[in-house]
Amino acid sequence: MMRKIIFLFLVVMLIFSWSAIAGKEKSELIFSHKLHVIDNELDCSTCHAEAENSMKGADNLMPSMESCGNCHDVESVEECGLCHSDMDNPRNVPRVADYFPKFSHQQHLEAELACSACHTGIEKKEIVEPYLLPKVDDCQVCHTQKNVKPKSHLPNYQHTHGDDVRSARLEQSCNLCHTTRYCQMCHEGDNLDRMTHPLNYAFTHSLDARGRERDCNVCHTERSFCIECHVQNLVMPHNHTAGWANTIPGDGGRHAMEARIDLENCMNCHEQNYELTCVKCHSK
Amino acid sequence: MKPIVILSAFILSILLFGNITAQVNINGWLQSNLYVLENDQENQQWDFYQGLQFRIAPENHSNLYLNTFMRLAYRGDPAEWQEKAYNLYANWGIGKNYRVRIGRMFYYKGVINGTIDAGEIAATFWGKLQLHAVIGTESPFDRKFKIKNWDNGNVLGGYLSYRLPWNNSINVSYFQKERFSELYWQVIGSSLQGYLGKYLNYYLRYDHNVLSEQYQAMRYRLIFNKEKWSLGAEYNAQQPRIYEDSYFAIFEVDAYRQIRAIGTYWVGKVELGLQYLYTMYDEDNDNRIIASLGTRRYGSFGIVYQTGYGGENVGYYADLRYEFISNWTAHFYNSYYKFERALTSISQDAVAFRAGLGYRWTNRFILEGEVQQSSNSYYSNDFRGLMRLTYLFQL
Repeated sequence: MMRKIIFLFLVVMLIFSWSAIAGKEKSELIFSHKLHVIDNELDCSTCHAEAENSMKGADNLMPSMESCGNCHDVESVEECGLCHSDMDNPRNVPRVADYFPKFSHQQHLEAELACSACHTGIEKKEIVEPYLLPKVDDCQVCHTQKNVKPKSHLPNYQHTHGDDVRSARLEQSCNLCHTTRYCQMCHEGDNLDRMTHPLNYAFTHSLDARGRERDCNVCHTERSFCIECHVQNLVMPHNHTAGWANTIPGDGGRHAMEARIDLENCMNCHEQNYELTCVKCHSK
Repeated sequence: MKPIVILSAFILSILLFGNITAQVNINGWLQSNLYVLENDQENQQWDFYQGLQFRIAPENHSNLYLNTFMRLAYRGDPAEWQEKAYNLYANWGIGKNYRVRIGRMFYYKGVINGTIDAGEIAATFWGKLQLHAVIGTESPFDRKFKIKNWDNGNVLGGYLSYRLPWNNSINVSYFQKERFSELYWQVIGSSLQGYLGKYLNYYLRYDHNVLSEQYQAMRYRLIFNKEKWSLGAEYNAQQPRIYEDSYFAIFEVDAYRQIRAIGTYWVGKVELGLQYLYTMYDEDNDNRIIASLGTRRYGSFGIVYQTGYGGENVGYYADLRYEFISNWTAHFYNSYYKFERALTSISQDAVAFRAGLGYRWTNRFILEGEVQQSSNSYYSNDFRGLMRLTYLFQL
């Protein structure tokens, strides 16, 4: 069955690939950033004045023809060919309105970032390309390497971030900086990064587990994860001392109370061998 | 035929058709970790982890891609190289509103939780309504290149989200797991989240376990964010996650309830934080306080105090870093905990150090090295070394 599904999917992908020849929409505008920024030493804000106060990625920050008119004679019909290669159908640069909808130019300019920090190399461009936008990798230079975090990342964000991820809408915001690989480094990784579980966590984790600082089951959905250490290394909980479980009918002793509070804790070790331990006294 | 062979053929076909019809973009990273430690038998052990993550997409169709995250691990036993596939799925975005995804994926939406080998369809209607449906099997616990038998753990889930005015949204989700034609996990979840005014963010969630006929989890949170201040309060209640086919389903157990409060305040470039957790069980309680101080540039320092059912614990942690020359970053971690578990009167100390250096070259290579040392009730001096080389590629 699975082979058939994969085969069908391959066929669909292959058909799709043949239709994948179409190129990007080309701009008909003739414009050189190099001529304006380097040769004539104009500031970016001369043409993109609205960027300074823009708080949304959806804002249209493309210069209008009126702003070109501050320096050029845009009224003259003879001058159309200066900027437009298709004079029968002159039009502006194709915009990508949904590129980082929440991006605030204002916030980044207030942080004293130069335009070229994100739009690297645009000042040297001599043609108009439709999607001269920074890549996520460029954002990562600050947001990852210099640890610049969004405001939502409060000190307990390790606890609350799951709620954002669970919401498909907020997940899109996560994806601006993080790939699922980033999630999996903690959720499924080998803990080499020590981000979630620092050194010595193997010895202190029971405090977190019992105090519900973290919900172990979010990541360790299979309890056999716990078995690996606890059974293989014969690690017994400290509370399993004499009198832990008595055999007086109706009085399970201390273990009964512990189990009522945190049965998952018992299950970590005993779920796979309940017949040897639990069934002796408890039967279905 | 082994799944790994089918998957390899799949990857190859993607590469091939990329060459035939259009250029492909490949980006990802390759990471090698060498971890040196002393094992239980006091012998030196060398562990090696080789990770590979990449996304491959036709140049003109970034919505059609294959995404992977795989790791090969060697842990001191030459006979046992462990192969793990954490992610291996093909994604096809059809227009702006539809998406099909198939393969192994890490899935967290509403009550759908975990790594699954599945197919997913997602659609957006009128820009406001999002629908996700997923069907498949649970991934093997060890994340091997294997697909579980349908009978031995299949999953089915759905997620619906509707965007309300003023940046609010309502979400409903459903998730079931079935083994040998018997449902052993069936949960319905709902959440409402968004903003009340400019500064107040709220999150309300209720999950209902259909099989046990009681709530599974509840979470209600308010966060106030204004300029230098952030204040948050949260109430949690959660039933233990006991599958219906578990022997332990015969017991009646108590849920825990918890109140969390958090406040942060920026003084210049330093963030001061205070958290308080109060966890209530029917027969006991637990308290935890964490005070922290953090900067974006230099890292953070915190003090932890815990008392109650979880145990007694006093400690601190310092996680510091500093880019002393461009592209060269030093980091240092130290923690100390003095703790005593509930029901024992044995006081234990745990100290840990970590110091390392990282160098980034041309945004493509990152070389990191660090030494780790810890001491606790089991190891008086556990000393380890980690070397890591990461290559970020974009072809």
